[in-house]
Amino acid sequence: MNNTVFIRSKISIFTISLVRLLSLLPFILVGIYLNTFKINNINLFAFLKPLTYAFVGLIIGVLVNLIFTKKNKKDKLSDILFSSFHIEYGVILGCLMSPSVSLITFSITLLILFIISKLIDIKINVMALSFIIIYLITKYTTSFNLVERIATSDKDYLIGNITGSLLSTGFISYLIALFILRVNSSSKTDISIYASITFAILTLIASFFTNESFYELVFINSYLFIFLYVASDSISSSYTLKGVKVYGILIGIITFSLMLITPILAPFIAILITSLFSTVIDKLSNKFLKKKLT
Amino acid sequence: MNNNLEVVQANNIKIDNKINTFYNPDNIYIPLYKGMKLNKDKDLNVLKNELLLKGSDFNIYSPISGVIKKIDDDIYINNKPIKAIVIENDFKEEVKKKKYATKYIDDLEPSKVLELMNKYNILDIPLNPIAKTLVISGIEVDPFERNNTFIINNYSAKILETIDALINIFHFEKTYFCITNNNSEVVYNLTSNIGTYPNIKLKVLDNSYPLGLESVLVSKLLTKKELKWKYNYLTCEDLLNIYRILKKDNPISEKLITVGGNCIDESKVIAVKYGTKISDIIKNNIEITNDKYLVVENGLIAGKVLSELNNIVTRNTRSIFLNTKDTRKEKKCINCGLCMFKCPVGLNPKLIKDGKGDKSKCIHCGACTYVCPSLINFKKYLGDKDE
Ligand code: SF4
Ligand code: SF4
Repeated sequence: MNNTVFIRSKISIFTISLVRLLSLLPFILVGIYLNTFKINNINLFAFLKPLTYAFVGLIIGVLVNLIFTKKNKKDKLSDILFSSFHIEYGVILGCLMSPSVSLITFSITLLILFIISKLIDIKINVMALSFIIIYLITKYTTSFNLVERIATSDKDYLIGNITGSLLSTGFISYLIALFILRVNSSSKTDISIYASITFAILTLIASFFTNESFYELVFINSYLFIFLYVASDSISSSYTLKGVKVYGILIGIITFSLMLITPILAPFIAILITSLFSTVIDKLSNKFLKKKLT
Repeated sequence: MNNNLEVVQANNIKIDNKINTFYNPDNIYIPLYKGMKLNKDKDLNVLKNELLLKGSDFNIYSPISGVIKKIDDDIYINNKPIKAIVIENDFKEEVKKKKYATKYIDDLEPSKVLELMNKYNILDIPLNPIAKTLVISGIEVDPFERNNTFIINNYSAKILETIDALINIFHFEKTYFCITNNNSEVVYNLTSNIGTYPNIKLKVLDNSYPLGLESVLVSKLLTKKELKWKYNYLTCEDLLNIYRILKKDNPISEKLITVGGNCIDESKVIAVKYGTKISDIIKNNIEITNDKYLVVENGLIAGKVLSELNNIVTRNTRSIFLNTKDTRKEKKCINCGLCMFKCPVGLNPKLIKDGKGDKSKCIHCGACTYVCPSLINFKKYLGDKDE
């Protein structure tokens, strides 16, 4: 009898996803501006295309959850639609797509991978895996240039004055989103902060030895966004207070190591690798880091 | 990062400041603990506040006037059966006349204060006269309780006078009066009255659960040095009781309890006699709106379901809730880490659930179960606080 529960918080996958999706708004708004007005390309298609990825991602997430969720009579629609994080995955991936990716490739790959991830119970970062596969398919099937961004000054990086996916929008949007996520007490934002700081420190050190600009190294390829949204995926990342910090640091280090080989895929590969070891990272960091990181 | 756990309260938990009393149950049940002796010969009539049971550590006084009827062994405390003396209420509240009454409690000698506290055994942990810090908590243990709020709103002058007296008598170096920022009435009440007591430092803390628990509050409030020097911890109810015994040299016969839950018409704070049966309180004070309730003692988050309504009110009873269960099914863990993040003692409930974690430090606050988005009931794995 004393195990009876009377009252619970309102936190659910729905509320967690909602906060994360709302925090995407600053990125999306700036992204639309940069992908349309900024590049003097104000036709309807150019205006809608970046948003289309996010919308298609959302629909695929909804579809997968509708099909693969066991329904109880008492379940609310929001419980069914948000029975897993796939809606969030779809929208975030949509935001990450460069306009040169085919919508068909994006949709089909996403649908297949989402279904597989629903059927197979494996702790892996679905967003990172999906991005890598979509990127590779696009790279080997089209002749488009995947990255088209022009930055002319440091200020461009700050306000995100560069073209590309919806999320190549710079540091201010990142700070706003980080703030929104952090006040909603998600301990997983530690992953993003530790990954970003580790990566920034390593690039700063590297910039002493190379001619590369520090800003460019830190802010290219939406790295901060990827650290904030993809790395902190609830299911596949570490969850303990020490684990999330070590997990973030490892992502920062691996991203830095891979950056010169494959700048676009570096953070995704880093996240994919660390996600496979998230449980071990939790275990070891709690075993060996007694008090230091808490 | 904010690891405070804010509990959203239901709308029916608005409580007015009216004093509700239930002093007239037909019978009162006095627990007959092992080794206690009845302080009566042939005359079975008792007066209110009369010494009834003598024990080696503490004595028990009668909270009502009436007649001793029998010994009942179908009475419970904490769901455990006990033997109890049944006093039939004569509803006269007859008291033995006593001359003692102090006008100014800060004139009392330290030894007299300690003697009175000891005589009436009003604190679980006796006051430590050589400790340097005094912590007063006006924070509710369970977010749905209103006992301290009610006391502050009705008796703030008495409470502040008592704290000031204790500081003068025992020379505490630091005194913190802790409340939370969510209760505007309490904040307003104290900030406007505390000005004349410069020795008392008001601490308005961010509302979070389970800040009303002593261990959590002092670990957030006091420095390592202050903890090492030892401290005294009193709730507003303790202070009110201290005030009453110092003023009148009489035992405490009543207890404030919050009555609430989603199966009754309105929540309230009621003053009841020690030894009142829970079933009597429910029958005489509550309008039930939904029959599918369970009775929960001491909070909706960490409270205990009463298997018997023959449980009685003791010093440790803070509240009774008539509430329905949350019957939603557990889902698969989404690895969000909130259970660990919100645990006030830094345990890993997810690991404990899998049989791998250490649960020895668990304070059974229920925060992990409350917060889990996958509706996992950790109470099953953490055991009972009385075990
Ligand atoms: S593990 Fe124990 S102390 Fe920690 S939140 Fe759960 S009930 Fe509270
Ligand atoms: S709070 Fe619940 S869902 Fe989140 S990690 Fe703990 S057990 Fe899993």
